[in-house]
Amino acid sequence: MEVDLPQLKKWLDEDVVILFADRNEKIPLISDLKLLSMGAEAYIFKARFMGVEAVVKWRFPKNYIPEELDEKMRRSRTKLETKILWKALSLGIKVPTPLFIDLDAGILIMSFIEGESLRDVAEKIDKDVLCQVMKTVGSYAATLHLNGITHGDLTTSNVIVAKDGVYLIDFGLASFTKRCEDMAIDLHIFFRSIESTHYRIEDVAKKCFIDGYKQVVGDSKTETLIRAVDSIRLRGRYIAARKLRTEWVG
Amino acid sequence: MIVLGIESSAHTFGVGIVTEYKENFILADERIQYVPKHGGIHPRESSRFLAEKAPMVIEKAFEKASLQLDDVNAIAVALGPGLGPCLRVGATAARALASFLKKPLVPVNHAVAHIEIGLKMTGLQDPVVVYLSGGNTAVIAYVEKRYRIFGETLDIALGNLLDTFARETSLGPPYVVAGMHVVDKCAESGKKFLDDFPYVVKGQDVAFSGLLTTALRAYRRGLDIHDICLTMREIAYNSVLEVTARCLMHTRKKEVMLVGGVAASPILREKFAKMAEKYNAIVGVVPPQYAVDNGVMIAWTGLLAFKSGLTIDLRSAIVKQRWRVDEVEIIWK
Repeated sequence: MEVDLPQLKKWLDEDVVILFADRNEKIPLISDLKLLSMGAEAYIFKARFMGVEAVVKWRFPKNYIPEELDEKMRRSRTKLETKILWKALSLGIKVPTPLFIDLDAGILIMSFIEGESLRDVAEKIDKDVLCQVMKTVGSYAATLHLNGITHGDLTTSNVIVAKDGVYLIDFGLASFTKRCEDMAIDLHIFFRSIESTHYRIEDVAKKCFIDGYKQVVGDSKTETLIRAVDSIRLRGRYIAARKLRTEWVG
Repeated sequence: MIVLGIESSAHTFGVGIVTEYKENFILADERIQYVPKHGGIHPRESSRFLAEKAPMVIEKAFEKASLQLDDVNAIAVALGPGLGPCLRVGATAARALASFLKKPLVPVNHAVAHIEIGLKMTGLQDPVVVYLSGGNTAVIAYVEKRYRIFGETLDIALGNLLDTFARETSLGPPYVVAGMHVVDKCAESGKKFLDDFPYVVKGQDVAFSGLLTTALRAYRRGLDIHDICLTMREIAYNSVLEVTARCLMHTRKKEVMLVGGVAASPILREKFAKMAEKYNAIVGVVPPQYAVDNGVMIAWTGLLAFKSGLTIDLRSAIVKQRWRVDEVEIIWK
């Protein structure tokens, strides 16, 4: 992966002075930058930020989008993501803690979470453990939804199983909303990520997720939402279950 | 082995004859297209047109290939997805041929055929397939025996967005002039981006109907049409690019294949090339001639399926207007 590091380094080329009781220490704002992965819109680095382990998410400029539009989008998404991370933290959901943002550069630095992505471990771990993880994810989703937040990209890649619990990451597409429809899309996306990548454990995964969801919002709300999910699914292309126009009559 | 394929899912009646040869595998590629005088494709009008022309197109294909009727080993037909009345024309012709010639009939999914001919034409091995046409917007990847849909439009298709906007604002039809969509052309003189056009990406899915409404509303409010075209196009294209990038990361594939009528857009292609470069992936574009509906893709896919032993009883060879690409088991892979 070709990464335009100099540009990022320029943005973060600062020193900070840490005051201890007995001495002052000057350390770089950021060091040990190492590329972890590249998402659809951002590079994810692991780094030391003011001496602590952190993740740097840099929404890189995209040469295939007109500059003006690109800047506007990177700025607003970085801002929104940070806001939502704070909100999620305040709701008691395990997410990375935002440490630093630079809206002009599209940089968000947050705490590093040591663990494995659910995508990688889902089929390896014990069924009971998997169920517990799915339940937690379900309860997180429900809590977010109750508070008018959708994750926007709820997939198994965005769940981290860490020693101290289950974390949700990548709120890059999250938004504030009141529409039931948007919440249903979260579920739809999560179910599809299970169906397309983890079809072997599909049944357990879905059931436990729904159980966790129910624990937070109750049975009836959950069922309404699941009906909304079904209706969204019928909107895809060429769904056989959707009635043909000729079948509407009578 | 020689297979004849018939395509008639929307506005094209295409007949292709192919063989197993590595090079020059196309023996015949005949097609005729229904062009509406105004508005979109009317299924009844289109099917009537196709039915009238079908015998002539089939005859011409045999002529071009210098083959006798009896030389083909199997008849392949696109049984769906598509417009019912149109599909039935092709299905009827195929059943008649198969029954008369006593040759096996092979069912082909139209979308799978688009992908298979794309693979054959581009030489790509295992790409993320971006299927963009008037009726489809989907990002597809092969995983365990199926072309699985990773993302798609939740309402209208990308081509539909562009064409409808063009039609409502009298930019078209025709929608494509000299290889360029009229909306692309119109966007060239756009100067600024308009605010509050919805950019809808939900996970791996996109949606364009809100964008169309906003664009049309802006047009009726008297805003500059070039700015509208530019804003609408950039937002629409970039949402597809984002979903594709997401799929590339998710599946860890290293190839992207553009297929379908809209894939012919030079502007879209350039954007994909730039995006793919970032992800160390290569882009293959299916040549426009084979990116649109044609009989060759049905024949070729039919050949692959037939070699793996797939045939269908004439009596059960009925059309399926709704037949998702991920319902088909890819037995030849």
